[in-house]
Amino acid sequence: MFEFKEIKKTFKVDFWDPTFTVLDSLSFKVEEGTMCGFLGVNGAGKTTSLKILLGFIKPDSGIVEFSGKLGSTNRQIFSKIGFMPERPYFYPDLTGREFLKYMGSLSKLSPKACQDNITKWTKELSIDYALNRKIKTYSKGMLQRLGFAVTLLHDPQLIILDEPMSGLDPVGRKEFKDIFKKLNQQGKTVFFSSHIVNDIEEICDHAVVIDKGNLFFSGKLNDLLEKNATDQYEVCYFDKAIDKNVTNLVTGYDQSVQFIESFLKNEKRLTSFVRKTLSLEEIIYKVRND
Amino acid sequence: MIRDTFTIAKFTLIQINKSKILVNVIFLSVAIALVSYVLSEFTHGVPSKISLDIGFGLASLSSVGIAIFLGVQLLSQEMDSRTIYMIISRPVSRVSFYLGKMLGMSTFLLLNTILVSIVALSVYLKLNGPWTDLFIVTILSIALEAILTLFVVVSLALIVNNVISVVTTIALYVVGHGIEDAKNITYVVSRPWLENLLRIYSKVMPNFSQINLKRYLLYSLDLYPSSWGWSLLYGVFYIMFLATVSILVLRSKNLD
Repeated sequence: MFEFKEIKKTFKVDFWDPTFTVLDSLSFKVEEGTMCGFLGVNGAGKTTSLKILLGFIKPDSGIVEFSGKLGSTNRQIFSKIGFMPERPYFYPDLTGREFLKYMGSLSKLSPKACQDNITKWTKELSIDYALNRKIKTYSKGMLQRLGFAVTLLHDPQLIILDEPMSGLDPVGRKEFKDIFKKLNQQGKTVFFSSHIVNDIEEICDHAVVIDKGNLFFSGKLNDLLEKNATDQYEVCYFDKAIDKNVTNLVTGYDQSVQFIESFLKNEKRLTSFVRKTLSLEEIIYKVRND
Repeated sequence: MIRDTFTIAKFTLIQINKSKILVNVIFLSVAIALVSYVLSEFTHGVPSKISLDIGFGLASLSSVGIAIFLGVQLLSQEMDSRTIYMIISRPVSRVSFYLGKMLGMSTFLLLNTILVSIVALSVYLKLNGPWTDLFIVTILSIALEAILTLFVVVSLALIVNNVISVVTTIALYVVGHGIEDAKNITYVVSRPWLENLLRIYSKVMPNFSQINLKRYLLYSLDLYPSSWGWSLLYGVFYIMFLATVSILVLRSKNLD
């Protein structure tokens, strides 16, 4: 859907300060129809990457290439992109409905399509009850929901979200994740940044992980987990003799199979047999400390 | 692009209007009526002119004040609150965004000027002041002055921070109003280098006295269509110049 090619970005706080590198020749590709998490600790360069992706800031070198399916001109490309910034803050004196209509009209939606989509998404995001209230009366979570409704209003093909779940309660997080999955099942490409590893592990099939402006991983999430999986197997069975579950850790696949075969002969009941893997969080923590 | 510009202008106007800034018209109307009444008790001969002076003065002051203090936040607040990201991540160019915001705010300034001026004129006519078509041109010039101030402050706010923009705009406004009179001071006339410097300044920097038509009205000076036409044209061209500079800056600006 889009590709980062050798993107480098440096910043200078003040004229006399030395420059610091935020992104160092960052290259990665996000394929069409994937649900891709953009992971990195605070200050890793996620938001800067998103700003470059959307043309808010220019890179020092390198280019961002969008798939031809999105269009050939900026106007065509951006009409198929939905973006929600981190902690969005909208015009406080407009009502939620006015703001949605404003954005719908900038997305070139017809009044009917705009109204239909407002009804659909605000209901789905449980914000429909507050549409006639001024935005300044909205809570942080409500602003997030309104922002997401605005992002989806024009039925974009590529959805880019910067920390979309910050400020949401557990129910809200669950609802957002369900909508991400639903959108992805409809064929949309979802690319969202987060520093919460579990969110990405839970719903993404692909991930881009950056650390201090450098690419750490890009590709299928399963590949990353597999690459960092251990050779240990956890065998859990019910031992009638002591009347409780027992867990054994066996190293090596063949040894594990032998172990299971031997204890099945003894007519013990197997409860679970799981290859021990590191969670994404553990992998990232391990790599950062190596 | 034109449709985007008008959409942004429309919602900018709605947003400013909803912030209840137009309430200032009520306060100013009460002030104009009260001051005109008090002064008419103490002045002899021309109470209507004094009320007009105060009324148009307040119209000018309120519009310029709104232009400076709201104008400085017009784009910078959009960047600080990241609202601009929601807009330009859609098929909307930065040029449309800028023009829309400026058009919306300028319309508001025009509206504010007209409303306060209508109150001032009503009091003036009530005090038996005579009608002249110059009123319309003068009201337009007050609005144009405020719009020019808006373009100055927004242009500066794109380059420097808000505080410096406000202070510099106020300084430019004050100097711009006094520059023509300053050129005629003996001290200046006797020093050709200083006179040349002021002449260059008045040609390059915003010359607000060029579009100040209130004095013609208040002192019953002759003002021909070619003169006021040129004055208004000067304001329009200067606004176009500032808009071009701002667009060039905004197009290459990093919105971080």
